[in-house]
Amino acid sequence: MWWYLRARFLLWLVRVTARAIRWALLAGVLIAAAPVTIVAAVGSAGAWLRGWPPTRLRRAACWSLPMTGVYLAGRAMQARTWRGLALAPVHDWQAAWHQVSAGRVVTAFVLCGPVAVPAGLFAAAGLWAWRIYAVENGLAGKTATAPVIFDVRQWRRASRAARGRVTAPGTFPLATGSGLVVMGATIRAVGHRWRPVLAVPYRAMSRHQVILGSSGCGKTNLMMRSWAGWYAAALAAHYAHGAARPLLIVLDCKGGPDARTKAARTRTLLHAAGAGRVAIWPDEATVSLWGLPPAELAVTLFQLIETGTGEAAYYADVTQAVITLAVTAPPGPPADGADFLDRLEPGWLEAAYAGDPARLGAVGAARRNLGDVSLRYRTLLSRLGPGLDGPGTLTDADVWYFILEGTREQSVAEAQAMAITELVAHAATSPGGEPRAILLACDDYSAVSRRVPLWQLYERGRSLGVGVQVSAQSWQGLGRDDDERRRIAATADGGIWLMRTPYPQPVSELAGTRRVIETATKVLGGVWGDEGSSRIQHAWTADPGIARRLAVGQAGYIHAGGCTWVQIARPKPSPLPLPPPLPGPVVVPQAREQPLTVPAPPADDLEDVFGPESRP
Amino acid sequence: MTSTPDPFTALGLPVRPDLTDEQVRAGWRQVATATHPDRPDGGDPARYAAASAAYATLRTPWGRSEAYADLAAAQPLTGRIVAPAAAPAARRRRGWWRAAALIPARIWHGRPARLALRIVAAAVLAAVALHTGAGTPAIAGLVTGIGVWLALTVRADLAPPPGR
Amino acid sequence: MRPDRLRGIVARWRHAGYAQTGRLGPGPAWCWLTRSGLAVTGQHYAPARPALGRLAHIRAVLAIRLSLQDSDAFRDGWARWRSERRIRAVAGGRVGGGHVPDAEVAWPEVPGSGYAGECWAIEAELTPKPLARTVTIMAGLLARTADYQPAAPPGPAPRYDRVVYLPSTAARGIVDRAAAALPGALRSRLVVRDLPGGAVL
Repeated sequence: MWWYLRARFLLWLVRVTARAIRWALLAGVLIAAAPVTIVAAVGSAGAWLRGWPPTRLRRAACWSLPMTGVYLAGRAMQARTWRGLALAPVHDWQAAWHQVSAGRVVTAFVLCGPVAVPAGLFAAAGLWAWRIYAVENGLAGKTATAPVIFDVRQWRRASRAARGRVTAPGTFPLATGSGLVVMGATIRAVGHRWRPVLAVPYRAMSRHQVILGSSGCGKTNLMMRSWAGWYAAALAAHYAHGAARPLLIVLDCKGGPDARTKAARTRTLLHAAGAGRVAIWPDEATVSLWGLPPAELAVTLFQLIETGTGEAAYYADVTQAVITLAVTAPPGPPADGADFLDRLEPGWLEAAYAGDPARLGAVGAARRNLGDVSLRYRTLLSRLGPGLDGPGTLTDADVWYFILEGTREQSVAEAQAMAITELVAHAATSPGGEPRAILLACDDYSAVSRRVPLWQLYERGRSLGVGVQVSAQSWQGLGRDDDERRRIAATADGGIWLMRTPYPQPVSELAGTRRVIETATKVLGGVWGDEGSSRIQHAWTADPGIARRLAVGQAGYIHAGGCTWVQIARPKPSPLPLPPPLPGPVVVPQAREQPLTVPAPPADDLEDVFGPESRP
Repeated sequence: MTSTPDPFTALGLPVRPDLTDEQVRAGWRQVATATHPDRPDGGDPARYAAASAAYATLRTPWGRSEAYADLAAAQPLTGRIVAPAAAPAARRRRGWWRAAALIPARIWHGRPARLALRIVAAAVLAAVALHTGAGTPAIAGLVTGIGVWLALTVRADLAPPPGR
Repeated sequence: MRPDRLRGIVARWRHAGYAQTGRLGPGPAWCWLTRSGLAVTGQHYAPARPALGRLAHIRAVLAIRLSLQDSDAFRDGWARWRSERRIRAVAGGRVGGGHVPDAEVAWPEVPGSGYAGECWAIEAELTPKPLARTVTIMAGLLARTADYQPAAPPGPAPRYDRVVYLPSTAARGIVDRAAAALPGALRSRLVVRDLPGGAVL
């Protein structure tokens, strides 16, 4: 028994001694490499306090390498041999210890700094990465809840750091010179490469985007920032490479006084981004629905009216026939609403088609219903207001802000949205016009989506080369049913912006999962023990728990299987005055390759009335 | 036919579409006071009339937007595709010069105090390093590191360039 | 009318309170009717000082009118000038829709007149508008069939046999391009002429 106890004691002593020697050796190394150790400690502590990812420390270490390069170059010139160069840092380290013992700490740091700083930062990056790995996988931490507390604390610190960073004016221009739209400061990147600033290529916005966020979450700032950034980047590409000139069209589908405030802010921002004309509809500018080609105009006018099915389909056919007759009449298409209404009279139609027996017959057949059709359109056009009666086309301005009163008059707003969508389609496809890069941004589209489902808008936009950006307050607001919502979200190739919303699960499902290690710890005698098990699990890439507790102005950018959480920088126009407009490429309509010719004057050129013309 | 100045010039305002109503009103008042025909010296009726017309155009945000866009669109329209004025290399050189010329304005409209503090800090650190007499390569390396840090961080305190 | 006679007439009218004068812009002074003057002359327009921003345009349209009325064809054809103000006043101040031209010239059915029965729209263009807008206005005028009164019946044929555009040098380019962009059926009724002398200072 006595021998057994002695053996156990000796074993324990050996173990403790070995541990002590190990720690002493480690301490010795750390003290010996003090400059590197100090830098590594400071770097790790900074990353822990500020919520930085290890990547940030690695980037800082890489950026400090020029310092080492200059130092080594200087030493190489002094040493003149490879051995001398290799031993130069060692000599400097020795000299540094001498300086420390003489009380000259600063000199010691200067001697070792060029090597110690990058080495220390690389070490700090490794240390911090290991720490994060250990805590998150249950290998470190005092309690079983350590990973949760650690994650929440790091999120809070990273958010604070990001909020401070977005106040730097120069770090967050609307767009970079290389066509990236700068959105905000990164808080955390999951499945994406970490960069301090999240910048999205402006071409991504041509591939459709969805923005989801409840009221008061900062959605307006995000949208305005994306519009202004897209416009600035597209305009720069136009001047630099002759790309198509941008045209931004915003549909504010809720309306109300807030819409006017947003419109004014948008105007200020877009002017600073280089936009020329910014038109606010219907308060300041109008567009003409009547500029559409006759065939499209007839179809649009028919779609503006709600028609029935079944037995009411006959009436829909008659209406369509009447509209076609009125719009495609020999005198030409109607110039405005009043002209169109004037044509919905038997007398006018008969006079217009005199000499065309087939059409006259159609007029006769529809005669009985003409009064009803005229009344319906009179009512519709009166409700639509003068905003669609022109003059003006979408190409008159660089930015259009359409205010639809979707909250107050939903059916009118729906009709207006439909008409404006047709005008956008026409602007995108009309031959002979200047090709434009068009972005159609619909804010709170759910207010008007009953007649033009969003998925149709998306697919139409895709086929026309028009980028569509849609925002909604919730997942439910994206579409009528879950099928439609998933279709819209799944086709948002440009990414999904997820802000604070009460039901983010479906979006998180779209972002997918990633594999993580889940560690379970045993409870032994009422306390957490040091035994347990680990397994590979799937965790959300875009954690819905994070989405639910996002602060104002925070968003997750979900794209390509990853998610970057970001603090959106408030869009502010550059205070510097714009330079004079650049003499960019002047684009004439593509159909014309010859210089334009003036139409030959009629044979009697009114010289007897106006006198002889001075020019040929 | 005399050429009329653009409405911005007529009111003594910079050619910008984002002028406020107050700025336009102040410009109009200044010109009107100096040129009204009812002045004892007879004023300047021609300039007054031009300023009145300009004020009528620029008094609303939409009018300002239109006037600016009209000026921008007043490049000669010849009906042909006109290539950019200079070759790409020449445009890049012009871009560098223009960017350099904007730096004072970007400093002024950014965070000049913080920028000054940053530069002072860098200067002090570099001076301390030089003063230690630790040897030229180490000092050069450290000063390089300070310079790199300054170059990387100074951009945050500048206002963004115009149009961005 | 001789200039000295004109000065005397204007002075008498001003003294009687029927007219006001003033130097509103470069060039000669302006004279406009007061409320009493409008009543005495049987005009039923609302009296107002001319908007300063529109002076140049008013001047140009006036120059066109004087130039037209000075021509033999106009006199021999007994043509009538109908200003935009009159068009709007006849329509009760609220036109149905579409662009109202600066003036109309109506040619009555007079034997020997080269333009008997025609109606022309006159548009003065001093500043270049965007091309699309110019095309829209041109096409609207050329396609119009009804009068401007709200309840006017539509006609089977276009209202204007000709639409005459008189642009300044600055606007000529845009007007020519807009004319070229019109469909052939409409373009044949469009005439583009220079502004007469004195229309633009």
